[in-house]
Amino acid sequence: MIRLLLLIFYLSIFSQVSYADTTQEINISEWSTLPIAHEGRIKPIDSFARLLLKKISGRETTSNLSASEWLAEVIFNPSQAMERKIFKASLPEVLKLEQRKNKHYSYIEIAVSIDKNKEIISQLIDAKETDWTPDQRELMRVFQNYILMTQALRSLTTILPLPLKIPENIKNNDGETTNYLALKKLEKTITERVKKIVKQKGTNLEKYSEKELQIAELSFQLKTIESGGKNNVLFKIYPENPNNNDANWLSPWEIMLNGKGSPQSAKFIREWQGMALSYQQKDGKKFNTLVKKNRELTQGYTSTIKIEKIFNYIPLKNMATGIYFILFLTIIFTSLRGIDISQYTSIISTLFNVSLATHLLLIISRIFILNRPPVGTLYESVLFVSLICALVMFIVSLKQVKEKKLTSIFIGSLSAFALLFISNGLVEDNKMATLAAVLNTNFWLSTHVIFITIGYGFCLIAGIMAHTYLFQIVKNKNSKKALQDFFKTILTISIFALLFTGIGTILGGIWADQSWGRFWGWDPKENGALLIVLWLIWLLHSRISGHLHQLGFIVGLAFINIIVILAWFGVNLLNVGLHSYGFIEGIALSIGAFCFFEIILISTLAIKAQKINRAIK
Amino acid sequence: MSFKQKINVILKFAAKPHILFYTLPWLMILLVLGTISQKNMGIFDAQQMYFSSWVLFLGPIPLPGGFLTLALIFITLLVKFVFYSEWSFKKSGIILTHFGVLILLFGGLITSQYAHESFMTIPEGQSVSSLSEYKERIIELSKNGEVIASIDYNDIRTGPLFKTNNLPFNIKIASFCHNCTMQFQDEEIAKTAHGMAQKVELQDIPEEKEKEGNLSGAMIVIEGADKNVNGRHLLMESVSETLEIPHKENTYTVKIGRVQIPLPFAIKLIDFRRVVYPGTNKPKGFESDIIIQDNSVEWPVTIRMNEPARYKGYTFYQSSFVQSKNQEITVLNVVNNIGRTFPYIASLIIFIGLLIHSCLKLNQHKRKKT
Repeated sequence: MIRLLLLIFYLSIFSQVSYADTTQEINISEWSTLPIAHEGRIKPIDSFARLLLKKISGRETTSNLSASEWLAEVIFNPSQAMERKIFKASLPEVLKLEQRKNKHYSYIEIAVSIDKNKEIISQLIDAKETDWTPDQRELMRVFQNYILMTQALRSLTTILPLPLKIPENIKNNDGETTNYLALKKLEKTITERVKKIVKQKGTNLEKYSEKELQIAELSFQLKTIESGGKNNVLFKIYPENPNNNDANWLSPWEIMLNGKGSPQSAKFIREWQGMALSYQQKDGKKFNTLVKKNRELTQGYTSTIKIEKIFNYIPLKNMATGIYFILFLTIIFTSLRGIDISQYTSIISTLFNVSLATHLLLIISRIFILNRPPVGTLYESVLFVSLICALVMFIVSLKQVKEKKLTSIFIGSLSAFALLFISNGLVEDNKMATLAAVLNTNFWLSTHVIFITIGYGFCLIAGIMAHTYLFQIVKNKNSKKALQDFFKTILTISIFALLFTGIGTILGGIWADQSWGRFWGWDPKENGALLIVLWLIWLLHSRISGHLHQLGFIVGLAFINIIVILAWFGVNLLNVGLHSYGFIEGIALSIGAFCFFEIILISTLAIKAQKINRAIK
Repeated sequence: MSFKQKINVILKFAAKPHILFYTLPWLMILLVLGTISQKNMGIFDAQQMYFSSWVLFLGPIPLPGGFLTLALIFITLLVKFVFYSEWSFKKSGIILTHFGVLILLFGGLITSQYAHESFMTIPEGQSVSSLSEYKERIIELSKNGEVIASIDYNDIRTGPLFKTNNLPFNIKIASFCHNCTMQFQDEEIAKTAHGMAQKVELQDIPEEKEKEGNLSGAMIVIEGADKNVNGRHLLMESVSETLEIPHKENTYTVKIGRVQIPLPFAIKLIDFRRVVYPGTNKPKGFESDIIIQDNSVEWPVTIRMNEPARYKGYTFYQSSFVQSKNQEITVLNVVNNIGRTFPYIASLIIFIGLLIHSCLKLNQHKRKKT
């Protein structure tokens, strides 16, 4: 409890002024385009703020502040930020918090809760993470966010103004603001004075005069702030060498405590100190000038950072997902109700093209920001494969739209929407983070991974088309010729699927040979890719040899969706092999449900289609 | 039926699509079973059981293993390719693709039989001219630095360790294990024990899923040597790997470790670097500046992730590292594989084949339309 009170006291001593109204002259939007190094990537403060807020509160904004405005408050005015209810606690009863409808709590409330649970937490830290119960997992999640927030609140405590009076007789008289840095300069004098006082009057504070009490308090606060700032490496805003992309970045506390100071860093820190002061004094003009000045050191990063900031503000993904969803819903609804919308084909096609363009822009922006192919993580591969699905169907639709047919747009919208929707479940993966060392090669990412993911896209499209074909037989609406044409399109798509997955798998083997010294290691990820290739080879050869008739081929192709999902996501659950960078947890149930549903659906459709075919014969 | 006719019948049978129709699904079943089994068995054992076997025994039932299944696919493809291919431009893509697959399978066979994988650990500034086996362990006895006896770890038994009469003292194995853990005892185990052997007993634990993770160890007893040496000693990987036995003017050394294979040249590590992403400890890459020393030839080269070095049939990959306060050690994975070019040639042929086939198909599609 004492520690908790000390922490709250420590942070609240920075509450010199009341909460600044950031919507006035202070340009937080401009400030949030300053660069910061986070998780190995240089990004705008805005991206950092969004990630931090999302992690802590589950949202990218608070009730009345944007993520950047919230972060500005956290670092420039921590005492105010401590009271804002931003901590998401899904199980308040586990954390011994009061029940609340929105389940959001302030830092101070969480700090009290952590203090109440400290014994359990220390036991859990020693235990294996895999042994934690869901309740304990939630407790530890909140605890980790609490540590993160504590670091964020202490980011600038080295330069924030302190509401302390320095006695005239030990003051430098250089007009400096009272803050940790100023106190640090006086440390030697303060320590000597404290020693002298203790020697004369002992440790009983009641015997001290007012001035002596002031000096003792200064000494105490100096030590408290310093111990709180130790190991604070979250807010890395200073590049040691702005001209070198691989150079280290430092937080203000690292500069201070690791002896990394230089005339350049001193100037940099002074500017941030000025920003803090002008923020607290609501002096927008000064704040904005200092932001401009501060940007001079990191000029080289400006263009990428500004684009990332724009990317943060335009919800390209949501826009594309929304349009795909509307299109898919419209087509399926009108089809089920028997409404003819063929006269609106051009409008529907234009809308599809708009969503595809938005989708394409999303992927291109990510390539530009991350400076690598957009397939480095599972999340990115889902975004990319959804684009491939839409693109393939766009090409097929070029002919179909002229004939006023909407099947390709329906399949394109459905597949792209479904994958974009699934990607929301992988949001932890969407940090635009740096890659593991073995993946850090643009050559292999842009060859092997691009090929294999394009292959996944073709496979999924072929699978969905096979489903559609089965539905069309069951509905018995299309003419034999139309079905035959559709079958040929499916066959072509499946050949392309084999082309891309086959070449992608072989390229993966060559990459493995370059990286690990063996072309093939029967690793789960490799086996998954091979399974897709073998399935397609088997289907195509069996069709050619006549072992499978048309319907058998289509049914087999419909099952490719299950194989792709197992190869793409399922093998990651095994947690085995050298592809250890792709592991994910908690999706086993979803994959199981998907496979079960697909088996039932395809089997039912296949049996019905077989009956209809026999009846026709 | 003449011999020629009999051969024709066999060839016709071998080229029948039935074989591929039934072997491919079986290969897929093996793939699924072998992949899932890796979770519990470890990659190596699962590979041996499902993919590198001629016969797979599921309980008492013998089934075709990975080798046999792939061999059947290879034979049917080869016969079809040589005797029954339609040698026309129209089919050129398919022919090339099948030829590429044949080369790929043949290369796989060569690799499975002749590829050898090992590793070497090189401290910064030092030269090393031997490779370490990943799985095989050995106990060696040397006299004044020269190896005079050795025994494969799989062959050791309790009792006398080396069958040599030239030793002036006895070395016996009291206990041993392929994967050991140390059990610390509260009281002294034996008065004549030395070092950690005074307080430690070795306990045999189940072997690791990946055998290279095992820590082999033995409790050995020296008899008839100097009084300061006689008694129990602990010999264990990563804990206490060597034991020195001074005897008169000679020094004998017993060493436990991985089997060493001599290299026909040496590799010197000049510098090891772990490059991190800015402001983090997350590695962006690992690099080793080495010099390959072969008699008078010295070849400086940098090995990085995804950028191995090749010399005299050996390929050196950046695999791991050890970083301590005083020293940096690089760990290189070393592969010697005469079949390593096959996948490259095969990939190129398959790629060209599939491309030609796709183009011809598209062209055919267009012509049909017109």
